[in-house]
Amino acid sequence: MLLSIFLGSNFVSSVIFDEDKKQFQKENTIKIPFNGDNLHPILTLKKLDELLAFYSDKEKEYPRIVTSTYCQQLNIKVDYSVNDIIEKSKITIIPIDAGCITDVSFLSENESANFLNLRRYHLNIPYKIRRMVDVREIANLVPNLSGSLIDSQKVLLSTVNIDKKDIDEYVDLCTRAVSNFCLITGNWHFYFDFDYILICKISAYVKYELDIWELFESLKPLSSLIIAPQVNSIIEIGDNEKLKGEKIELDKDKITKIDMKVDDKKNVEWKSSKSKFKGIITGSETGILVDTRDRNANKKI
Amino acid sequence: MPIKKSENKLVPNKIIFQKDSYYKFKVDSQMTISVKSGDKIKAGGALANHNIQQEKIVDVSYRGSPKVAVGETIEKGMCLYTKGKFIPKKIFSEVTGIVKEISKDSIKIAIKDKSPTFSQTDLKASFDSEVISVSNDEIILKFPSLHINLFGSKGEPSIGPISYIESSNIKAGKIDESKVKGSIIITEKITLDIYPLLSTLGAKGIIGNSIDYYLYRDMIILAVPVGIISGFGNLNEDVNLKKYFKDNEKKWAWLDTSYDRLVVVENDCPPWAKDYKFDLEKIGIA
Repeated sequence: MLLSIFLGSNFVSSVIFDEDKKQFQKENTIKIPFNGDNLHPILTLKKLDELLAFYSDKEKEYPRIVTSTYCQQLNIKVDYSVNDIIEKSKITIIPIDAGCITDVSFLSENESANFLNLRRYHLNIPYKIRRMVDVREIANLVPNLSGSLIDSQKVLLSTVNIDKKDIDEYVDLCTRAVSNFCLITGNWHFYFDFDYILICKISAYVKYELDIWELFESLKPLSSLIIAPQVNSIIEIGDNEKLKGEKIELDKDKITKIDMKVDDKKNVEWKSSKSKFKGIITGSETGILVDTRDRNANKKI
Repeated sequence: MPIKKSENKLVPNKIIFQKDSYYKFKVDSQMTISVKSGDKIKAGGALANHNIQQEKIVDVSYRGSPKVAVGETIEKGMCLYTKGKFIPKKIFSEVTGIVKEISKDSIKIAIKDKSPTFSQTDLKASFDSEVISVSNDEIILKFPSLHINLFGSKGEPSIGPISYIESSNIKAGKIDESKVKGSIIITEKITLDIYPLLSTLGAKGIIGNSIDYYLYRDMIILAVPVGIISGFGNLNEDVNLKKYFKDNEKKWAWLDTSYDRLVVVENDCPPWAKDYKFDLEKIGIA
């Protein structure tokens, strides 16, 4: 048995993993309370144990692994950074942690004051600001993930505290943000972790060197993205290799959305001076975004 | 797993009474520490004295024959030694002092250092305290205090009496300058005008309930340290804290920018501060 813990700036997530049965139990995500005492670290081993009150004393004694975004000074031994997990799991993980943002100049005076106050006191950040901050984090992280994006067609966006009503918009926003700042062409499925639990699970699988893809078998991608710069304005989609299906017109300056659900499989073909593709694509809960914009002209997005 | 939506808007440890707080005095190498571990010091009591007319040794290296003897008093311009066998050249002293030692290649002369002309007791305790430890260059004092944990701070730590001044009264020509010089000033909001004015008037520290974020961010080189109590933007003051500052003018405090806190010397915990919770809703956050 293993207790896998993820430490974000303001949140602690944890799950128990039974490595023999390959089963997870007792998932838990909790906000780290702000206690105001500047003399002591916000999180110590003792405080972490208090936050893990959800578990029995016996469960708390299980061997532990701790994964963290490394955004703040912790008085706790961390076993893995998210980069370690990316390297070992071969999955592209984009950890969204508002505590990691240092430059808030993209926000207005009022927004930055509001954001920094709420973050400092560990209070919920309104979605209106969250969406801007999270897009900025994606902008900071994605250009450095090219190697991982080449290796993996699965992208995990790990975040916390998004209201149910905002999820659809958030999924679309984040997928478009990745597209805006991604430097390479490819086809990816996006999985979302809305409570940092999946990242705990991946860490546990990494620890035991298990097949990470098993974790995704029961999950559905919430979004999908194809980046194919400067492809001809029409791509062909069909149910078989002869592609006698529909032709979809693409706008060179926009991201086009194709309505293809998770279980939909289509043959597709495109060609351009920069990329070509012939093969099968599958959909997602929210369809597929196809981005044909020139990457170089993309800087101001 | 859904996350609980209820949020804690009461901060428990914003204000903490500490029976044992510690303050470290760095002592200049030209001073002699006049206290020892365990001493109880009253406010104004001497901690270290300047060594007036401290003896300094000047080491003059030479090759030749000394023309002075150990114990001899020499004046600047006197011949110290000669060098060269056939036509000996006289080398003159550049200092006045007493010859302490002559070896085969150096003459050591003790001179009177007349440079610091400070008073006899330059380092005094600002408040009642107990000496915890003394080393060559530092004295650690223990004292009881009220810690006010700040939202943030910048600059070098400073120590001085606190003085609360309403922002509206911090204007050139209007402000009571005697309240500013040497004090840690506490006010509602630090603005672009307030900081330079208070710095010029000799404030030892400036603490605002709030400050605009971009002003705070762009303060890079600070002559006077800055502390923020509540946060960025326009925030309400905590009424209890404001009253405390107003009622306790001249009380000594230490603006500790290393740990973002204002440490006010207090013998006992003020009744209002016991189990005090800082209400984020009342100050306008959340």
